[in-house]
This record gives sequence, C-alpha cells and structure tokens, in this order.
Amino acid sequence: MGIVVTLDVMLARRKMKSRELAEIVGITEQNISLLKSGKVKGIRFETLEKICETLDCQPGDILTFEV
Amino acid sequence: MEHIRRHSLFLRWVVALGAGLIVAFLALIILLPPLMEDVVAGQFGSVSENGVSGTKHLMLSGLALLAVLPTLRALQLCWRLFGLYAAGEVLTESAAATLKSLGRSAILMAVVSTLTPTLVVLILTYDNPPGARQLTIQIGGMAYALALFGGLIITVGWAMVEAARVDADNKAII
Repeated sequence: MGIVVTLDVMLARRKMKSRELAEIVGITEQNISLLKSGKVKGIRFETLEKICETLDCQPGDILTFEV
Repeated sequence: MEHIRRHSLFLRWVVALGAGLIVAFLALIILLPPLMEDVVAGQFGSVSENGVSGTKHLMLSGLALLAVLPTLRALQLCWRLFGLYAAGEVLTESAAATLKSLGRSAILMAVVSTLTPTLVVLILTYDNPPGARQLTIQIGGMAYALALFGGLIITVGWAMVEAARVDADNKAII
C-alpha cells in the first residue's frame, strides 16, 4: 500500500470542507482532491505545514504508512 | 512568461517573412534565367563557357530547390517552436523535440552549404572543353559555425527534455 493519505478523515473530524481548506492553505480545491485520493507524487513541507496548522494536527494524522 | 509569449509572436512573423522572401527569390531565379546567370556569375565568376541556359538552368533550378529545403524545414520548425512558446508550452516534450529537430536541420544546412558550391561548379563546367572543367571544394567558417550551432541546439534540446521531465515531476508535487 505504501503511504496512505487520510486527509478526508481529518477533514471530517474537524468538520471542514475541502474548499475551505484549499482557501486557507492557498492551493486549488483540485489539488486537495488529488491529495485526498493519493494521486500526487509528493507534498511540499510548506503545504503540509499549512494543512497541519489549519487542521490543528500532526503530519502523521494525515499521512500513514501501510504495508 | 508574458515576455516569452510576446517575443515568440514577434519572431514567428520574422520567420514567416524570411520564408516568404526565400520562396520568392527562389521562384524569381527559376523563372528568370538571366537573373540566375547574374547570381551565379556574382558568386562563382564566369566559369561556364556556354552560359547558363537550357539543361544547365534546369539542373541549377533543381539543385536550388533541393538546397533550400533544409532552410525551409528549419524555418518551419522555428515557426512551430515559437508557436508552442507563444501558447505557453515552454517546458514540454514537444517543444524539446522541435528544438532537437531544429538542431538536426542546422547540421543538414551546414552539409548542404558545403556541398552546393561543388555541385554548382560541376554543373556550370561539365560541358566546358577538356582542361576547362572545374571541381571545387569549399569549406567555410560559416558552415562550421552552423554545424556547431546545430550541435549546440541538439544539446539544449536534450537539456530541455530533462527540464520538461523535472517540470512534470514538480507539477505532481503539491
């Protein structure tokens, strides 16, 4: 499986919509959607930092490693 | 990005103008044998004892058509490349491939510019009396520079392929 993105779970916990997160973080909603589906090659520390700051969570809360 | 777009659009018209002038000049020297005679005399002197007419004019016209093909191809590739740049496709596979083709065309132009004078003199003097026939080989700095430029453009093309790959990778990182 590798790295699994659990951003949708964290968004649901915080009761926040993708559009809202995209606006705060400063990336497009399409990129949030790609990130949620795991269809990206990587995530910049800068983006990760803003997401964690907005959702008040740790990187491990939105990225997990599964064998 | 905007300055690349504006610069490319301007150069596209320069390329179109150049291609138009080349085709017009080619048509004139093919349709007007005296003009071809003047052009040939200006470049090679009066090496032909029987003038430039009939079969010789036909052969020189055919040679001129063949010799101009790599130049027209290079201009067509420049037109395409500037079109891609004007459309914002700078770091793409197709722009890099066009750049490499342009480099190959420049090398072909260097080869053709070296061979053409030899063939022109051969055509002009083939019916001269024995002892007055000539064979010249001309290797100039211009052909060398053109070949070097072609090699450089091909190398830049390869670098652009790599840049396009890195850009695609960057786009997949959010």
